[in-house]
Amino acid sequence: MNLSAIHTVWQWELRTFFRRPAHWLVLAAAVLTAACATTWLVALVARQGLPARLDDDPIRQFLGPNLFLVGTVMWVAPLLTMNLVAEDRRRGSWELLVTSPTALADVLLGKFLAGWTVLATCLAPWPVFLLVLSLWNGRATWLRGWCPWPAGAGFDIEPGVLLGGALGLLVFSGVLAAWGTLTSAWSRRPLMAALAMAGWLGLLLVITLALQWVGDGRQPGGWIDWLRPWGVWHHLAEYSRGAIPVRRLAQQAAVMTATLWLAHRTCRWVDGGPR
Amino acid sequence: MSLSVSHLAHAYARVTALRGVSFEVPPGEIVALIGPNGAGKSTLLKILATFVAPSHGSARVAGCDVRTQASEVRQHLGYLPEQLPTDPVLRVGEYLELRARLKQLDRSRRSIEIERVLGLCDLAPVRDRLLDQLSTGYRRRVGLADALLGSPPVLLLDEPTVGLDPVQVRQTRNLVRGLAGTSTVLLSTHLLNEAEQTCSRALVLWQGGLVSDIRLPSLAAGADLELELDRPATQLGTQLRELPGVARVTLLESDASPTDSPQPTVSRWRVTLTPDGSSSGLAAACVGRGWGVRELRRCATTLEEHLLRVLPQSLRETA
Repeated sequence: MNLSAIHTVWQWELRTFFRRPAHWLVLAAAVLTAACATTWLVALVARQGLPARLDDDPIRQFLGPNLFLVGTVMWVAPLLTMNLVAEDRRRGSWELLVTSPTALADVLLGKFLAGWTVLATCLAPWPVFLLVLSLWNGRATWLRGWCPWPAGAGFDIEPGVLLGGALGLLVFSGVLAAWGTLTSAWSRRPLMAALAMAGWLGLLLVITLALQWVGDGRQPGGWIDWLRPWGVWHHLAEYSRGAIPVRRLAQQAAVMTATLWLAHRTCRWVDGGPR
Repeated sequence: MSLSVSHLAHAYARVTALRGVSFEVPPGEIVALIGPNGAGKSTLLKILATFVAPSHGSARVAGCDVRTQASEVRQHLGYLPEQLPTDPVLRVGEYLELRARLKQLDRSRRSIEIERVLGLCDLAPVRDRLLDQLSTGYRRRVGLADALLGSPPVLLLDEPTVGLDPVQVRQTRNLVRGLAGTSTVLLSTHLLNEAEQTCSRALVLWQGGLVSDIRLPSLAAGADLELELDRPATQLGTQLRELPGVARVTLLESDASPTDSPQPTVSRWRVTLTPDGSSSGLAAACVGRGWGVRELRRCATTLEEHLLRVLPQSLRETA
């Protein structure tokens, strides 16, 4: 493994990414969606008059950002990762890249890390939303009769839970970046890569929902409990509670590694290069 | 040997691109790879550049096997592929900087090398231009500059002058010619005059097979003979072909003079000798059969003539 080469590819990919207006639009849309989700949840809390505590369901949804990830990641992740390899193939620069004195594994690692970095930037505005929540519980009053002003104290937010959720999301976005690298490595057209990735995420969502539906009302234990963790959306529920079992992190790291290994094999298979 | 290819074969899903190609190129030689479209030239370059793995056979670049020592091969290689570098956001200078880093050039050497190849390929005026805004010719030169980065001992160039204007073509040919002795160059081209002007040797591929491996100086010096006999062409061709040391005979002109003319009837032939044949032996054989030899001289063969001769009949007719 050549760290210098990985760093070069990562830097190259990010430089290309952040200089494209289209990518800024996707990022802005992702942040906007997250902001809308925040507003909606805060409004929901305010309307229902729920106590402002961390373990209330709507807040949990917000902190664990199920809504954000399931709704937004389904289209953001494919759009942000589709170009990683497929765009190079489409432009013809892939051949040059993989015949330079850099191992294919290093090229793919650099691209994967760039994809992960980009997905992680979607999480960057999160502290701003949390700051708003810590100051505002969703209810407003009129200051001097004309100016809207937060009424009452903000939500009681626990930093430990937040950090746990953030770490979980970071690992999860790594899994998404790995899947994005794989689908992009499989295709010669970025759009096909995006569709494949969206299809894969949709399939996982269906599996997760099906497992949840089958498992409802059953006694704990048995094969459902064994299968449930494999529906990756299920992991988000854990992160939303700030619970990140080490086993889950190891599981996701294993998925990332296996996916990148598969991406390496896929590249060789698509290009016909030396195994 | 800088390049050593042995019984190399490659098949895509339904197409056989290479069939048992073998050749060797010593260090410092500039070799042209010529042949019609679909002959397998680009596939051969892709295999040598380690982008595609061969189905059968072996190939070594600078002594390293393309299949098992791919990363070592790449360290000795500069490659200009068919497709040109494009990027909507990178400038020429930035692109070459990134390529130099990928080629693991030392930090101290990087900027010197970039300046060198920018100068060699006359790219200094466009170093701050975006790659996507460059003309095809300039992008080809960026690709060539990239291949030259780090002065690799082996260069694989796939049609380096396509899309260039006449002045750029001349510059590029001079540049490649100047590499003789220091780098081994395998240059794929459709332009036969380019091969003649730039290379010392030509490999002719047809339908994935190597049909000719010819030294261009010997071709230009005239391996063939032009023979003028004071006999009509009728039936002479068969008799000429039967002479010792004769490999091939082609009738150039059959001059049937009028019956009342004192000038005897003459015929002109192009004769290709076998390796053990000689011009004096041919002349002696003709005289021995009572044919008057009016002229016998060496004649230069162009690469085009050679190509048409070695390619199969069907392709010759098309040409």
